[in-house]
Amino acid sequence: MRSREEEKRHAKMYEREKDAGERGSDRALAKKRERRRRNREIYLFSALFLVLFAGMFGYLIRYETSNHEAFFNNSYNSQQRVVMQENRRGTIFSADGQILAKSAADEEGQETRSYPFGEMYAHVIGYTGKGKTGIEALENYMLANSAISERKKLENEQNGEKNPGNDVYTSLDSRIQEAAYQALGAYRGAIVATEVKTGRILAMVSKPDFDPNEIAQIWEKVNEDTENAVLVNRVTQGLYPPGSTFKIVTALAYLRQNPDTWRNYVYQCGGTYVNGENRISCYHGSVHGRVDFTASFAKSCNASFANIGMSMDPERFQDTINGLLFNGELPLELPYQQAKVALSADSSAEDIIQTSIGQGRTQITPMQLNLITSAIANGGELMQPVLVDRIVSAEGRVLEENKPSVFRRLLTEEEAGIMTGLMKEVVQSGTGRKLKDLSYTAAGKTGSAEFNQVREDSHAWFTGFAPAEDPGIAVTVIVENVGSGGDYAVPLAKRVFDAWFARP
Amino acid sequence: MTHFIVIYSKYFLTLFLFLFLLCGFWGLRYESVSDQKMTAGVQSVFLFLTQFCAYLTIVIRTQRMEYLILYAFLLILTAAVPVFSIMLYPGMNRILLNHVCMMLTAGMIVLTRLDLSRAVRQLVIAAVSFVLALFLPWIMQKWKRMRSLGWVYAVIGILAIAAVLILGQVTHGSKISWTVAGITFQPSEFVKIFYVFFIASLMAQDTGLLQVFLCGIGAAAHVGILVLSRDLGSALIFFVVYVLMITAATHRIWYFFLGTAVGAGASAAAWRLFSHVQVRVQAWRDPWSVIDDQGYQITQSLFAMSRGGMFGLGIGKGTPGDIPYVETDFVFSAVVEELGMLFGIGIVLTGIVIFLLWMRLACGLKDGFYRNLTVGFGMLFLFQIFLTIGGGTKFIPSTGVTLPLVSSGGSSFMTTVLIVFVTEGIYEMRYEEELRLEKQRRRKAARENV
Repeated sequence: MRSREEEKRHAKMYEREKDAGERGSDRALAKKRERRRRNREIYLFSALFLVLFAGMFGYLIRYETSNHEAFFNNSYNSQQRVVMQENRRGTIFSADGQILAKSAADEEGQETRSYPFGEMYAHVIGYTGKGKTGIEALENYMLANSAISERKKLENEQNGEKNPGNDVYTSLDSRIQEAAYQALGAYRGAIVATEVKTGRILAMVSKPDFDPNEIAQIWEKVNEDTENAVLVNRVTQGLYPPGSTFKIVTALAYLRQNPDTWRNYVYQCGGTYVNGENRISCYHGSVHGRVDFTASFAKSCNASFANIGMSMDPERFQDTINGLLFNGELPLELPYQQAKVALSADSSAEDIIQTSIGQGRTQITPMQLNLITSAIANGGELMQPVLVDRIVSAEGRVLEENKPSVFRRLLTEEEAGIMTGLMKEVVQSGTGRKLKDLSYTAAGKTGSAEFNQVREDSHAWFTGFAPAEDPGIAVTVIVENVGSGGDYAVPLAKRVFDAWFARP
Repeated sequence: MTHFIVIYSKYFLTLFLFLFLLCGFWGLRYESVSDQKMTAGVQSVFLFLTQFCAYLTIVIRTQRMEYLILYAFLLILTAAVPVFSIMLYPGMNRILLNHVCMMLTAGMIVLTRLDLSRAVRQLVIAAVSFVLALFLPWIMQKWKRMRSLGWVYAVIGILAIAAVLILGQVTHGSKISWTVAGITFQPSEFVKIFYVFFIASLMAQDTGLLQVFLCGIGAAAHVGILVLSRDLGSALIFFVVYVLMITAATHRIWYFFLGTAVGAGASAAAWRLFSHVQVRVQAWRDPWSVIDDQGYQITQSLFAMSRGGMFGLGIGKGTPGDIPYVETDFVFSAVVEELGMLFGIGIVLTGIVIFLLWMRLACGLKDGFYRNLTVGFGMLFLFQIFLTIGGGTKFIPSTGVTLPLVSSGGSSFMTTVLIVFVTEGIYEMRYEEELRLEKQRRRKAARENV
């Protein structure tokens, strides 16, 4: 064993030697260079390893944090079961404070989820138990977890109590949802209403419906019943031929292609448009006579719109279609079906004509039509649709808040203004007259979509907004298999508008 | 107070680990072990704080005293190892020892919580390993012929893994273990030491093309047997260590590129030839489509780490038992689940500091044999960490390699401790050499003064 002094002295000597080296006599410098050369491979491998590890750490953090919620929701992950034992699932509220879904435990601690409004919110709120849908699925992570303080959690654990999960406040307004639900009555179809300036979804109704309280009991029955497809949320997942509501798209395309001359457009409607072998008739054999562009739109003249469609450059037409969220993704978190329309320079005359009047292979969901309508109502800017206003912990801490934000501009302000004028005229003098002369002015477009070549049945459509001067709410209605939009869909929309204007 | 501990211990654990690491990186500044005493001392404080904090939480949460005993033994062991080592060999690198103890601690925390009997066994193996390893520096000083044995090491290694191939038992589809007197060995772990000695010895004698080729034959024999044993993870490690060692020893960088090309070709061939390689590649590329079978383990590992997040769920709060073979191949995922991603990364950084300490040592060594040894062990150690962490995080396909010093498993732990003490022996010899030179200089200076 060496003595401590000896070691210290050695250390000092070593220091001195090093200093001398660093002060840099030529020999020391050469030595240094030589050492660097000799160890080049070691430096290289070290650097290589460090880069590899840095990449791996970055990958780990990014991959795990960005997939955190998806992993939580994966049924192979035990986390949800563990969390369910520790927490009581949070409550879902409407924007006006009604409880839409809540959990309660019986004496044995068995937890049940109940939906006080039964069928009314079946699709949008969804269900739990047999998997999860709607907001129950969308916000599963937040509902299942509890953001109360760690201290409180520990206390609950020691007392054998469950932690209250986070509460979800939706944008749904119970008065408007109820109006829409009652309006649709026993019909099959869908109604969706959104707040134009914020993108908040106020009502979302799909029928036929089911009682989410009884999902376990009716599970087999509803799954066998493919014809009614009661579990399908028709607002976002129901693909329907848009019928004349598509004339909104066609009209916009025409405006864009003829910005200076569209006002001069005139067409003599004899009830039928003929182009070679293609014949297009107006709804139920109407004859509109001499119509300009506004009247063609207001009266929903098929012959005139076939003529308009044929006069356009199909590729630029397709650009307008794509610009209105067709063939792409919707800014929507709920599962949805994507509308597809494809025109090109090679499209046949039949394809172009059918597309122009919303028939043929074109299909759309009520939600997408509502988004287009809201964009027109909002001066061309589409707001990001919001279904959840905020998520709040049981202790009142706001965990997530969805403030209104612009998703994308779909039309210029000028285009939106012209479209609004056209849609006002539909109500004033066209197919939407059932909304005329009310305490508010509405604007919109009807549609009667023929979905069956053999029978003369049609789906009734209406999409529109009110008040036309300063739009507040956009409503889209589809009623399956009843007749014309003007007769069957417009009155339903009116009841939703009324409910909105009757709010305190 | 107990509230406070249970809630905040995970943050303190991470904090202590990073303060520990700060000392580790600071220690890299010093070339000589005499300069780093202070740093090493401060660092060991953070090591003990980490242990204390973790076991305090475990005891409070479980209210069981057995854990206290385990803690006491761990504390004694990790305190005794540096003390005895420095007493016997003053030239040893204490920071290196601290890092070994920290990795042992991380493994012990997780094992204590996963399986108490495994934790006890791990601690016993650790104690035995350290005791055996303490002889190594002495042997290295006394037995200088060690450097010239060359092919003897290769023969021992090849015989050992060949014996396992013929006589051994199949574990998870690979023939890798061997049971003697109730204790199961994994010779491929110990053979790693002989293998690095073999290459180091040959490359110290001559770095000509022929020697590299001969050395390659020895390496190929090892790799070949391991491939036949279906232990492809080890085969890959042996191959990479060969390539990196000869490149560093010969200073010919094109060996590295050639090696990479050959390795890539061999990997592609292995993928074509072996169905179990295809299974692993498939489980890496898209584990979600095969989540019921081949993808189960990796997805459970990913879930566990996602549950943990940055700071972990807290000790005892997670469900790491969901991952098959969590104590060995996927121990990192368990660490991340309960102690957090930052802690997990901290443990890997602890290993990286060990590697950097060795590279620093190697750069200053003039003796080719010792330099080769240090480089070889460093590459072996870090590449193994890379394979296991990369496999568990879906960064690369899983190879079924354990995390050195952290995973449960005697052979792997003992091998790594022996490797560490070989390099400590080199530190010690360098220190004594310095001391000798210093004495000479002083004697000379004294003479001149007279």
